[in-house]
Amino acid sequence: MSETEDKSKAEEKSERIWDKIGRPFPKWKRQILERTRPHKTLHYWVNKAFEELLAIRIIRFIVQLSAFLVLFYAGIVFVLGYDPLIGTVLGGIGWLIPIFGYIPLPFDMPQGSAQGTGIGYFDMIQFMGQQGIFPYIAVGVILVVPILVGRSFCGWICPFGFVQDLFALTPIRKRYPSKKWDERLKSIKYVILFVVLFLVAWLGTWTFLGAIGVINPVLAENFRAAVTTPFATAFWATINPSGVFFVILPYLYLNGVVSPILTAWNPPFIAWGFPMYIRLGFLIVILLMALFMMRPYCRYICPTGALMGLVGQFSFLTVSRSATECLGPTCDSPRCKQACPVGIDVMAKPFGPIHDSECILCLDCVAKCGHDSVKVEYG
Amino acid sequence: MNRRAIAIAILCIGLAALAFGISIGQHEIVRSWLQVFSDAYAPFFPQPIPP
Ligand code: SF4
Ligand code: SF4
Repeated sequence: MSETEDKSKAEEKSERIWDKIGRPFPKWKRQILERTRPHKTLHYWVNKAFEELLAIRIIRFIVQLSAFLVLFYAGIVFVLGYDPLIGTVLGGIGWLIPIFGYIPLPFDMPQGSAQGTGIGYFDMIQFMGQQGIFPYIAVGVILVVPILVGRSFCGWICPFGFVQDLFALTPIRKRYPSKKWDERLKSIKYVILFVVLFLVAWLGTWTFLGAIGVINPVLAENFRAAVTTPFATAFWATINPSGVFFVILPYLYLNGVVSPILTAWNPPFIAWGFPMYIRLGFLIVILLMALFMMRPYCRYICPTGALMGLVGQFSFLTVSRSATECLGPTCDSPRCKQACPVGIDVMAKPFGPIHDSECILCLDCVAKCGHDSVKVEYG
Repeated sequence: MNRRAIAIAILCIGLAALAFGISIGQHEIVRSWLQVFSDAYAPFFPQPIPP
């Protein structure tokens, strides 16, 4: 009895919502329209291809896994200073690595080494900025790439994102804080980003003033050294769990094979000791959290992702919810909303492209929608 | 303001920054990094004879 009452109440409510947002075409009309649609657009074919393969998740997994292997191996090449596999069948994948300077890896290579300045543009910004050099290339890349492809790096390439995705595969029920707390915690990453950028700009200004002789250059250099010494080499590298995972742990495991590449790190940060335990503890906490929620580091902490999100919300590449296909509040299984690893309520967004700084373009919502409503869109 | 207009503006600024960065030679930093990397491979490849 009460069930039917609830149902009719829900229907009434959805009717009201439909009246407010405008009713879609009735199904028969849509069918006629579709049958007579003269041209299928590019979007149609792109989405069709994905659907036919029905493998967005599988394709993404393969892409992520390949990226992970290449990057993990690259870390080892860096640590050793040579390619241990060269001469074997797998040898020489290092040629893939030159793209590093132009992709936003969330982990820092040791700054001061030549690699350190090239390993991803957030690090480039930190390292060059604190030396009083404006990082034009890094800034250019961070403006251009997320505008063109949004944060798809996060969804498809980032090896630390992949590690978190793997941890999320465990059959443990995922739990999230309440919506309000989720929103609050999400702002942590922006705070981290702005603190880091502020420190970089502050230090960079002093160093720059020293370099052009406005203030005593020796004092400026001493100041910079004093401020940066407590940190690994760049501010965020001090605690960055991704850096621990991809650089420091391989380094310690390989027993610190002498490599000129790593000599730029402040010693406490690459040896077992108190700072290392803190960093390792932080990494373990993040990985444990990844068992209980999807992408905790990306949601709440990663400043690289935050930086990309700030620009990426204006991206040309988006997922888009169709007003004519989406069943809206009457949908029997709103899986798009449940699918999202970063907690975007796809249904609560207005129809059309979803411009959200959190969206990592993983396309899980596209794959999960059973009504053909959520699609990839470019433009 | 229109999102697309903002996007295009950001894109232009970004491209300008890239162009400027390259014109003042900042890409050399990436290149020097590649240099160190290719040093890792140096023993395995024939070296050019210095003039
Ligand atoms: S938010 Fe950070 S850690 Fe997460 S996928 Fe993006 S870059 Fe990687
Ligand atoms: S909105 Fe869709 S594409 Fe974006 S992060 Fe969520 S599930 Fe992935």
